[in-house]
Amino acid sequence: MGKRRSLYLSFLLGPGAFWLLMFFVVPSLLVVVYSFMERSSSGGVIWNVSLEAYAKLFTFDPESLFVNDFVVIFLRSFWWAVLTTVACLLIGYPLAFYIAQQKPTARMILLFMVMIPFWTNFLVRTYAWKFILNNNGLINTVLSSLGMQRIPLINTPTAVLIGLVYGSLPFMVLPLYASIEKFDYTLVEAGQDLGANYFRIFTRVFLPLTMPGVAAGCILVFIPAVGQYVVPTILGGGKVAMLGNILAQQFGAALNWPFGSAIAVVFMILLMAGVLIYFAVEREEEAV
Amino acid sequence: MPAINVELRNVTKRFGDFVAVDNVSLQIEEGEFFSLLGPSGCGKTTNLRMIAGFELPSEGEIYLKGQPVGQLPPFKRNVNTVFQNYALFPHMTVGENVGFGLEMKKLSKADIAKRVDETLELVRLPNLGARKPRQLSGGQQQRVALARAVVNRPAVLLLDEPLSALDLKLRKTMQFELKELQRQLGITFIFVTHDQEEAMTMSDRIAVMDHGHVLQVGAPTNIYEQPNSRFVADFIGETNFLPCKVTHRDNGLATVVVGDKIKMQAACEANVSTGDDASLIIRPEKITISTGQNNNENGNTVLPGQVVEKVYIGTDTRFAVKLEDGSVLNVRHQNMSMDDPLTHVNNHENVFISWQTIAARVLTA
Amino acid sequence: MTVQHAQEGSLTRPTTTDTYYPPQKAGSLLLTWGKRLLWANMIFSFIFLYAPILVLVVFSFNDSRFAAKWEGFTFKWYGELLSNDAIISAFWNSIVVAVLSTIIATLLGTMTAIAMERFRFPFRKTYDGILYLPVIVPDIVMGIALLAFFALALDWINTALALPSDSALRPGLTTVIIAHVAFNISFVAIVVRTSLRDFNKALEEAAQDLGANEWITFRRVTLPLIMPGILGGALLAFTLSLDDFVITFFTTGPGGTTLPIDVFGRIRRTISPEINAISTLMLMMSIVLVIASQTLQRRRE
Repeated sequence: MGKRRSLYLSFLLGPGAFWLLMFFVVPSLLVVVYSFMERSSSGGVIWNVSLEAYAKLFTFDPESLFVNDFVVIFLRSFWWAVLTTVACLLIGYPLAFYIAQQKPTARMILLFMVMIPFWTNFLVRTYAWKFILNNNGLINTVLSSLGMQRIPLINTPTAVLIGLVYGSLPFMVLPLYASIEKFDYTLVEAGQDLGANYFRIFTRVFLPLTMPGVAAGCILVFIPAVGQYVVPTILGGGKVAMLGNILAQQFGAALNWPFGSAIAVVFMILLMAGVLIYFAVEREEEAV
Repeated sequence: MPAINVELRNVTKRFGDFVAVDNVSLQIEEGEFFSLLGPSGCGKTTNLRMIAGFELPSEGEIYLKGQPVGQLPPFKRNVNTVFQNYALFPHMTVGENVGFGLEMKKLSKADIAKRVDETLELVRLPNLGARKPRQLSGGQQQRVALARAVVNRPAVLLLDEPLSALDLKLRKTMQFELKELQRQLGITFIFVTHDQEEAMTMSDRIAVMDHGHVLQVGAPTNIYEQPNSRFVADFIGETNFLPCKVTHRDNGLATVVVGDKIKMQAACEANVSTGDDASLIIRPEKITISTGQNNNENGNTVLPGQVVEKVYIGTDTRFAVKLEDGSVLNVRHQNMSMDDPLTHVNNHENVFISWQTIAARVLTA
Repeated sequence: MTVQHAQEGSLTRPTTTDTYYPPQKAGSLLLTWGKRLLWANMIFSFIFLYAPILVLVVFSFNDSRFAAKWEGFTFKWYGELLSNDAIISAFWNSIVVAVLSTIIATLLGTMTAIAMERFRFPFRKTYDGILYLPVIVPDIVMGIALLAFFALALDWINTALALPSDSALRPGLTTVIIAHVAFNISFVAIVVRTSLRDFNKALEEAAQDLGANEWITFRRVTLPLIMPGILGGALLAFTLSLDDFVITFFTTGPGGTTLPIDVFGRIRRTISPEINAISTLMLMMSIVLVIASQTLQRRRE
């Protein structure tokens, strides 16, 4: 590699690397640093090293069922993300399978219909459910005009979960479709030829070979779901908070930046650990 | 003696620990149709890519008309390539593709247009200049690739398995056309192929390569009739191999014993000496088969045998004949007439086979 | 073993003496029901995906102050939107942010993609990982990190330049654009890298073989051929920037209200026919963008 070539490389790489370093890596590290600082009641931090923030996160609260409310929210966020992922997989896998089996034109139209929500503004799609579920929303308006009792739908866990699944479904279907479409159907014939029944062909041939799509879809759904802010705010009304809400709260009204940072750090560690474990298990399965 | 156009002097190419080309020296003459022939992975393409400048040799030097070019980038070499899958620029028209090299040489628009038209005419694709490559058939794309390279009047034209993507019939036509084009232009062609028949029909000379080494360089007849190694004999055409022991040799002839039983004479390579374990090779078409022992002329080797297999393949009938020592020879017998007594020979019948003594050759095992 | 193939589209198999197959009826019944279930799931999925949006669109034409009670057809909510200065200015802010961040991110992302695909350099693997992070990290985390970073950085600059508080630098459209570029570089780089990887390198060799140096090869052959990929990346960046709420929310300041920020404020409070109308317009914008991206992709193929 000549001198000219390395000059060329730094010209190509430099600006992007600077931007990412300055406006992504440094801010992320700053959050880690902030989590070990003292709280400044006017926002920001006082530059004294302190473990206060982590202590607050892990202190036992006798009022709460678990260690404290923050831990409850952590658990809830991860649990709901799991539920969302499973629901998206249960709806999305058969859907992707169905689309992949259609004739080219039908396939294109159906795929396009999955793409539209994928590209549609997330706020708008979340608002659509608020419009339906609100106390003066579509369902309750219809109910009351039929002379029936209004039912509380908005600001419930159900509303938040519907919103999460609704927002995430296209992110599950598209990678699934990509891997199902690539599947070589002569393998199914080979399986039948060897006397396997449909169930066995599905579990032993089809599912393992479309696993990369499942993995991609699950990650694309799970991670954004844990960190959701828009859905629990609009459909949960702050009454059923998720991690995103307490993060925003600590950096907003509560003005406790070290604590917010500590939550973000623990959150990222758990997320990374989850992803790493997932891939480790996956690799082990591949090895078998 | 014609001038040397391209020379490789002790060229080695390593990719990490893998030696793709191992100390190769070659001299390719002006105006020659030269083929690099060998199985995939033998280093023939790497050789070509080093001449083109896509790879730089790890050791050794490459000369183009006497000038060292081994370390020059491709755009500074007066060499053009026809790529395996043509590598036509899909976003340019046929005319723009063909004119690209001239444009790089900063020729005037009018000159470019003129030469592009001439060259498209030459490859028999007139009036197709405005099309996009994808609108052309495989054979037409092939010709565009050829036109794009020869329009620059390179010192050498490099062709990397250019016919491998075509079907058999088209390939035959293109072989003929390529050869014709080369004769017209008088440009040196270096042609890479794994197809021995293609190399034989088109080349003035062939270099047979294996595992990064050049095993033999010579005219097609020379390579076919006098292979210098088992690999060359085996790779080019069909051959019978009989393990043998050399008992005596003088001049170009050796006396060998096959399977401890059959003693015979054969032409002999220089590197074979008395007492060696060697291989006797004889091509199936050089063997005559008959029901009676009537080929006993001087200078012929005649052996009795038994037919163990007989396959009719149209132009020929193929016999497998078992010799006294148990070794089996393949024999091709041309089907001249249905009256031929051999037409009615069955398995297990006794026959005689014979060949001109010097048609069999002894090589080191 | 006898080789038997089921005929296409039917489950009746030729009977064989030496191979056991499950009884035909059970198999075909299973398959029929399986197909019905698949179909039902598809219908359900599309109703689930589209019904809420369609309801929204329909009620944006509802002539009633009460959002969900149908009173008749009207365009008046759209008219009101057009005369609402806050919304119009938020819309233009969104366009400015999306256009500028897309241009910068496309440039830097494409350059990064070329460096990653065509060069070998130390720490390439590490950088590869960092490049993917902004795509994976939840936007809320990136949002608060940038909030903390800009607060500190602007504070330092203001102190260093001794700016009085009325002319001090504050978060606003500029910080939003910087933040959008930061996540969009990665998306563009990923898309462009895919098209570089699919690119037939023999084409670059052919150009050099014909006398084009590296720069001309890039300009005349590589760039035109990866252009659909670059445009695809740009379109993705544009959409992401236009749609982004969370990162904008944490990095914006006075005068930096984008359309999603404005809309979020309204949505949070209540439901209303005006919001339905804005939503419908944003929906239309998305559909235009999908069609554009699909057309691009078709051209790439």
